[in-house]
Amino acid sequence: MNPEIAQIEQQIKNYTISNSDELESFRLQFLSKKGSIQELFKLMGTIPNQEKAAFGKSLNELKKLAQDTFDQAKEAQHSTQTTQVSAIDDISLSPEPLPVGSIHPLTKTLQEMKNIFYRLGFNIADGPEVEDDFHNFTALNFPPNHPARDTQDTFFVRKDDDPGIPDLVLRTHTSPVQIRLMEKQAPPIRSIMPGRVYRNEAVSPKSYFLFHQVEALYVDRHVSVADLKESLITFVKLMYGSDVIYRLRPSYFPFTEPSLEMDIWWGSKTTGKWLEILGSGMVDPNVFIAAGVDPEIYSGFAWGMGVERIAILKYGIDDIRTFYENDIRFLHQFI
Amino acid sequence: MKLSYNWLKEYVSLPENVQETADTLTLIGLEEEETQHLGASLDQIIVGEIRAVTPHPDADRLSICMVFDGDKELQIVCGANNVATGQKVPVAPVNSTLPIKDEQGRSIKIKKTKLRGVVSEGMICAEDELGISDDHAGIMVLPSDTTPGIPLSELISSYQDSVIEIAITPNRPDATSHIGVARDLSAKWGTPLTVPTVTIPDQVANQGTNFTISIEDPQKCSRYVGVVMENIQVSPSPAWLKNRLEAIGLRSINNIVDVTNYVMYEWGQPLHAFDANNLKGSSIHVKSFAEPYDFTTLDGVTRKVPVGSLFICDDEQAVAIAGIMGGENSEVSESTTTIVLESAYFDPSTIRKCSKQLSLQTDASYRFERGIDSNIQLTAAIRAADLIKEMIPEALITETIDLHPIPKKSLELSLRVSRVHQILGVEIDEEWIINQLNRLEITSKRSGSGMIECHIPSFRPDIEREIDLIEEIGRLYDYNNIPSPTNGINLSSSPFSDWELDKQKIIETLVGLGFNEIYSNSLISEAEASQFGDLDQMIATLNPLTKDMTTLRPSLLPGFLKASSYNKNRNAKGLRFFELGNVFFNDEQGTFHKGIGEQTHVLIGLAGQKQEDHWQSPSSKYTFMDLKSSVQSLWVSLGLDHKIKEKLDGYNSLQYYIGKHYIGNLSQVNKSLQTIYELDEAVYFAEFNVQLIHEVRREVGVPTFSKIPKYPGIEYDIALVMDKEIAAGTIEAEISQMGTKLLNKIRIFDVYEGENIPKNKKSIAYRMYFLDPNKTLNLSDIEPIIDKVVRSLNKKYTIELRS
Repeated sequence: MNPEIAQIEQQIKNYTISNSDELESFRLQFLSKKGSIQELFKLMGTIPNQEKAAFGKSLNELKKLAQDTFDQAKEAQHSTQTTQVSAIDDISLSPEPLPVGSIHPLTKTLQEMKNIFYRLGFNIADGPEVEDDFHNFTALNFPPNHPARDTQDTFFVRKDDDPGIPDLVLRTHTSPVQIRLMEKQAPPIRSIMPGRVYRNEAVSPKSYFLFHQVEALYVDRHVSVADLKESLITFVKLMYGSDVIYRLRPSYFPFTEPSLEMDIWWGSKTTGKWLEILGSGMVDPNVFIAAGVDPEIYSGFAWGMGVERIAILKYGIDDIRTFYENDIRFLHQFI
Repeated sequence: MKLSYNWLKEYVSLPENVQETADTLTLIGLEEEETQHLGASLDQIIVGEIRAVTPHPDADRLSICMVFDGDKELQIVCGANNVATGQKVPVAPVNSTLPIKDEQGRSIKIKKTKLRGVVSEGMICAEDELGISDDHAGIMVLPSDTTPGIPLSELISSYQDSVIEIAITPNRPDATSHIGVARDLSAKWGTPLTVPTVTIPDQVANQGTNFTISIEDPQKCSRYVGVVMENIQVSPSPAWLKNRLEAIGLRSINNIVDVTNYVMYEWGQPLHAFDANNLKGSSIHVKSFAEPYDFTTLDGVTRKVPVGSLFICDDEQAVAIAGIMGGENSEVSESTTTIVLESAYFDPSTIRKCSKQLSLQTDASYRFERGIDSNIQLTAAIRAADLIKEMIPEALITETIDLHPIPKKSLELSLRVSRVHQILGVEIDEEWIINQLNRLEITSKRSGSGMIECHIPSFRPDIEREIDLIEEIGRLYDYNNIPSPTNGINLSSSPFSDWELDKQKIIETLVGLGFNEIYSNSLISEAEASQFGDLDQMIATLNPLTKDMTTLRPSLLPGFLKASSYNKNRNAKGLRFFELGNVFFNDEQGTFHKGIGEQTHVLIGLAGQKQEDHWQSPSSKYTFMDLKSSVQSLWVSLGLDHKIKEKLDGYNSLQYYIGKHYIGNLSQVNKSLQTIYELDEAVYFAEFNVQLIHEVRREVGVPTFSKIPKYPGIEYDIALVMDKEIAAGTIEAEISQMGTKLLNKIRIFDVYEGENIPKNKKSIAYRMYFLDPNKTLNLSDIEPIIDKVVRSLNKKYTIELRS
């Protein structure tokens, strides 16, 4: 190796850079246009041809060494500088957090359901939580002695011996809104009806005396079980993913005939099980008659499902009471 | 209802794979709830002989048994009170696994353990622990000639059975029996249904020679079959009968009672057997009493049976509550020699009402109240008599009476094939429909073009209309097989209602402002509700299950306070809550129903610490202003900030108005409520009527674009000295009103009291922004306005400019 190159290499290796002044003088000494390395390049012409390649190579390596040393020293100075800002300007400090709001998991689930129905062309309708016997039971084809009419299952708000004064209950399902819609509006009807419903039940991890339902109603000419099925399948695929495994099975509700329930397979292939997620059916002709719709001209389907149940599945919540305790540590999980 | 697989097999051929049958049942509307395999893996259980029983020194209810397992003696601590020396019993030795699972579905392995200090090397089993039945009355005692040490499976292999428990919807009374379920399976699979042959004897009359029956009200009992049998010997049932009943969770009582239960689960007809020797006289009367009647049922309980209930009586007294339970006074016992078998049809609603009033549901009442086959009574009675004669060859039928005052008319229905297509959305072949209906024993034939005439059998009272027949076709066709329509649902473009969108907007805004949404109970206790107003003005439920849920919330405040309290007790520091929900109140006109007001409200609340100690600033508590600023942001977000007027209501409450409508308030929660809810720091809440907000938003309409001002505005500050009683907001409103169109914004930038100001005065400094969209404003444009404002304020409130 050229002795001058070796000498400069040694100088670079021994150079200590501890502040910006020393960094600058390093640059001037080795890397500037008038620096010692640039000076050596000028010697190139004096080197015999057969040595030129070797000389050039070692000179470039020297230049790289000087540049790396400079870069490293500069980098090091930077980080040293950070520790030198005043304590309060330390950007690694945590600032005062701004409050972050959260949507209740039931609202969140409900919104998801509403959005799916919106895509299926359903709008949203509302009805009262205090409902009369006609809308909650009679119009929905509940026979006079149906168990649901027992005081054991239903909260009564008014019960009068005068037949002119209707009994009032806390609605036991959102189905009465179906009747209200059909009374108000001629088909076609395509609506969902979310809301709070009540059952006179003891509180346990599995049941609460109030919960939320979403009812869907579709009435038009030529609506069939096939249409119902199509809407159910579209819904579960959008709600639970397109690979959801489902089945339909016959069931019974006073206000639909035929009635069917939908189950989805929950869990792994081997250890999972069928879970009932909704009840549905073709609107019973008696319901149409009660609401003033001609069942020979129109047909329709209705379905209903519990919002809590869907939220419980979705979020893996194990106790229905959690929804109404409003523990902030619970609520904060649904941002 | 539980179905024994072995039993079901007698009527229809079934696949080996029980699950296949269970799945099929689900798909035809008889949903499988649980399937159990009885008698499975009894290999690990051995027969032991109890050689000695001594009481446990430290536990009254436990005994220490020395049990010979065929090889050695094991010491086993046992809690059953029926253990006795010499018994042969099933023993689960150490390291064996019980055939049943625990509640979590895990298997139960027997370990060597100490019970109250005494070593126990295994377990003596009761029947439920072996999965043989639900019986946990005591340990299972095996026949005395059983050899100790042999596996239990050698002894009771005949117990092997599977039990499918199905849920029965109220419209399927026919499925409350094995034959009914077998009929459905045979229809689904197209395999034959084989029911036991029952030969109705010739000598059936509507009255007997030595025994008579009377029915007071045929509406309540339209048929009563009575069969008198003599030479009866009551004894334990044979193994086959016992096993069948125990498999489906019934307890074997004796051969007579067991036969009545067997036939009920076979045909769906509840039967009852009376001891004829205990009947006074020789007749049965079906009747009601004018007074409540004290009656002791055969479970030993004396019940006050209400007026209107139907009884079965002898010549002197009641002997059974019709369709529900027999009486102790006529119960079949070991000494019974003559019986009367009852097989009747009782009116469903009569039975339902009585069962409900007594809170007593039995297997019989369950079936009667759903409506049994109105044509099966004689068949079932003869079937039972046949079975009794099989077991007791000497038994003799002396009378067969069939009193049938109201024969049920059979129902004929027409079915339009086109309607099937219309409802189910799939074209189903007419032949297929006729075939399926006939397999369900709904006798059907073509009656002209596209029409089918159907004769509804008596066991299907649920089928009353064409649509009910379509359901039968649908469930047998299997809804899963209905193809999706090729055209799909017509797309429609109904958007969400404005009401819905406004509610969503409120929720989004409040979440954006950092509030956490809560859902609180809309039913609260009367005691709690009384803290929030006059109970007379609230809506209460008449029949709450507990006192915690009597009154419908008149406001969202209790829910917020409860949630705050709940979280405070769990060490939460600061709470920002909101809720959107309905409140209820007395209202003569009513929202939906006369007398009931129902309104959607939104509540926003703050409680506790706004901020814990932090390097940027010390800890602080929420103030009224923190909530007011959020409320104002809400108005801005809803586009209502120019519409809303506030009014002072005392020193710590503001009322909000839109026009003349009161829409809600923002207040500090009073001290007494704070104490009740154990909240030690100040709590603030605002509650508004969402319906009114919605209505005004609709009036305001969609925001329209207004040009971004081209010319700069001008700021003008004034400090006003005024009496302390004057509300700064009142003056702000006055200035706003007088400031002409040019006044764009106003804000208070300084509030001062103290030195240089008289003691009863304060200084409020207002900064006004003036803006003219058409030109650059000069001070000279503004000064006359300011002058006028100050003069006017001086005149009205004696307010002066601070010099």
